[in-house]
Amino acid sequence: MTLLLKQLFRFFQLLNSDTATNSLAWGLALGCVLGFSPFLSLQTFLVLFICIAFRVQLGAAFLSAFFFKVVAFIVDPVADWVGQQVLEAEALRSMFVVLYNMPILPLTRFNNSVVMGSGVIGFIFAIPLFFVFKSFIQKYRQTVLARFRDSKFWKMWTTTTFYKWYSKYQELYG
Amino acid sequence: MTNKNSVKPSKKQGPIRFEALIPLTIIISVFYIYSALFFDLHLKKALEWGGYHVMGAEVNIQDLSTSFFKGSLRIQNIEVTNSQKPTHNSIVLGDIRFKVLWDGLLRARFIVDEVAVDGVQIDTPRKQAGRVKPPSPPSPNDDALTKALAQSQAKALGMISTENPDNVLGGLSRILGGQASEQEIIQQIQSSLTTEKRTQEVEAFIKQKQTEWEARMASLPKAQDFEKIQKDVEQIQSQNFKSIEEVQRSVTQFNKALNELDQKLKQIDQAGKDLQADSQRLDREVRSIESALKSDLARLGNFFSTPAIDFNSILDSILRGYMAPYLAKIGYYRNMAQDYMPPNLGKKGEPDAVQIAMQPRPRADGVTYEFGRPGSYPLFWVKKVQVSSKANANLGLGDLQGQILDITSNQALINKATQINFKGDFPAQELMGIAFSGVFDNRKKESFIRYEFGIHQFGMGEKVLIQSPDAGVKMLPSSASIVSTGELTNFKDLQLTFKQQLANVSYSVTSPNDQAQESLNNIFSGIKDFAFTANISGQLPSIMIKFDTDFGRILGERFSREIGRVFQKHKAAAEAQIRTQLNQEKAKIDAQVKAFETQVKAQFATIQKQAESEKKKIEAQKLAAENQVNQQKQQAEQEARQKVEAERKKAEIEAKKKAEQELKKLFGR
Repeated sequence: MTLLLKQLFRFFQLLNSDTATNSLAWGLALGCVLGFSPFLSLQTFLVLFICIAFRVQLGAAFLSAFFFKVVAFIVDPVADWVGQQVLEAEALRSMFVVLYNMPILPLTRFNNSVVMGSGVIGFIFAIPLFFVFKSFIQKYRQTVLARFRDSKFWKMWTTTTFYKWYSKYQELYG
Repeated sequence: MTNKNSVKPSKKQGPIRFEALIPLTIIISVFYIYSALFFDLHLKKALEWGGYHVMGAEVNIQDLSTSFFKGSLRIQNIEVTNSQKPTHNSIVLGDIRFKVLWDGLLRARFIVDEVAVDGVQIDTPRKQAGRVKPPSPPSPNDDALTKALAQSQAKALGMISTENPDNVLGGLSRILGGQASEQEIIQQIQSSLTTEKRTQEVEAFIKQKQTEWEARMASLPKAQDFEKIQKDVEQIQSQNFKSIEEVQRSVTQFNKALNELDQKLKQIDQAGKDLQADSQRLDREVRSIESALKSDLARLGNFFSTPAIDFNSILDSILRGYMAPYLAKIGYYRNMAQDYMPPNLGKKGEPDAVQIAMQPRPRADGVTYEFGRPGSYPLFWVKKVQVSSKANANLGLGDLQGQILDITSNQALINKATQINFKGDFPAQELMGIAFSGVFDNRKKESFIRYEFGIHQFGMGEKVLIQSPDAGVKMLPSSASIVSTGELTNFKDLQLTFKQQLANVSYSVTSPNDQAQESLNNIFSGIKDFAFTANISGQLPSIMIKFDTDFGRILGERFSREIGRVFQKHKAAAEAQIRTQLNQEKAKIDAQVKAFETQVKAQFATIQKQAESEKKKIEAQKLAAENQVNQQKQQAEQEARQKVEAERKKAEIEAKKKAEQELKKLFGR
């Protein structure tokens, strides 16, 4: 829990900094994939491994996963329909037979209509979402953050002792 | 000198998060330690919990060990509590071990080549009584079979049916004991005898006739009446008539007297005829008593005829009570089978085509498809379960060999039906020659479960047959055999046969009455070999249960014979007594009739004789008078003739004279 909270704080910290744009964007995009995948499945563990092994912002990933989990729950009927269409497609049947009888891949539970449909939606939207999130972050920093830093409140806040302690702490421990 | 205000330069980080290795290692280590130290224990507890809920009784596992890399599992000493007898185990499996193929696991399939099961024991005592799950109340969604079986199980557990056979068999024992004496029987019979009624009717009839005839006899002419007539007749003139009128008058008076006498004689004649008719009727009434007596004696035989005792219906009610818990189990396991057995994934409409079709199996959360192909792994497949156990009577171990083949979630994929074959003996429990073979085939359109089961010899414990104050009969421990076959098609059509054959059965008979004890001993000593059969068939939940047993038939025959013998003894005595009684009454009636006839007939004869004699007298007098009258008539006629002759002659003479005068006148001279 501590780890999770730390990652969430780090997310907000990075969001309000000038760095790690790609890391944040990848975290948000992969979080979409996580949200659309079943909790206990191979693809979930794979995405988590990618998030952990590569510098993908975990806080962003978890936050995004939480959000898209709710979205996935709402669009489950659509995902079920999409999954059924994909799994029942005659053209893909032979491929599915091969995949179903291969090692490892059945652990993704791709043969379930909801899993397939959600996976298709998640993976299809993951790449464009990366670019969307990246531009959102950049826009956020350029507009919202800059305006906030120019505001009287921020200027007053930076003069407080609490902020000075916080800044010192950031300098020393990062 | 270090600048206090200098900012630490940020180190450029690469794309790979190497610092995550440590936490990842820690996590993996934690998982490894858990699986090494706690996983086996938790799995054991989970299996015990799951077993309790599935079997409905406590399941204990002594030891469980797994190996992740080998994919193996070993469970030692699984004890399943007998829900009917919680102090014992229904079955104990000494050792179960198997390995899961990693080839299948990587494909998310559970494939086992062979499961070995050793050390099978049954009905062994437990260290302490196991928990038994209380039966769940029938929910509104339960089907009719589950509800009916739950109700019948609750009703039948430990209870015999409401048609208490002890009452019937106890009553028969009383009869055999002669406690139903002849007097009691006669008293019971008497109300239904027609002779007695007939006798009473005839007696009443005789009394009525006696009264009638007494009155009638009083109304008949008596001697005084005849004497009066006689006096009247004597008054009538019968001679010395002076004129014809006197004669006529006499004749008229005689006729009047005779008419009066005739009237009285007619009265007497009519009475005679009526007496004759009544006499004949009395004869008929007396004869009717005899025929009623004959018919009563004939019916007496029916009263003592051996009752047709339908033991089969009594045993039917007993056996239904015994069978109800097993039927409840059938329903319970049938529901479980429907839930857990692999579905029928063959294409509908083509009963013989076994196609590995892509069949959606509907689930609550999406639809899961199986993309099988011939030869590929199904989701779950245990190829062989090998059971072996060597007998050791001291430990309660049985000699058991058997195997279960192809337990799978998709029979169509592997194109094999699940088969079960077992053979063995359990000497400690006196079970010899156990054989079980079964097939579950869900590949075709019509799925079926078929089994054959038999136990060549097993010990039957003592069984109480009759428990009543009048008699107690117990079936002593004996040996029996069982053969059972069954088939369930489409989880609906059920056909079950069950036959239990008992041999060399002996009994313990007790009764406070020696005669009844002897009779019961005679009856039961002849029933050594018999069989119980049950046939259960029909479409679930409406099934028909038919019981049959030659025990009932033989018992009925022997009971009937014994009761017949006792009854014959009673019948002879009762017949003699009733015959004597009825004969006495008939004799009394005969005497009454005779007395009546004698008295009335005698009186009547006297009156008749008197009337006849008076009639003769009067007729004689009348005849004399008539003769007198005739004589006088003849005399008068003669005189009249003479007078007429004289007149004629006189007239002739005168006519002659006149004629001569005329002639003289004519011829003038």
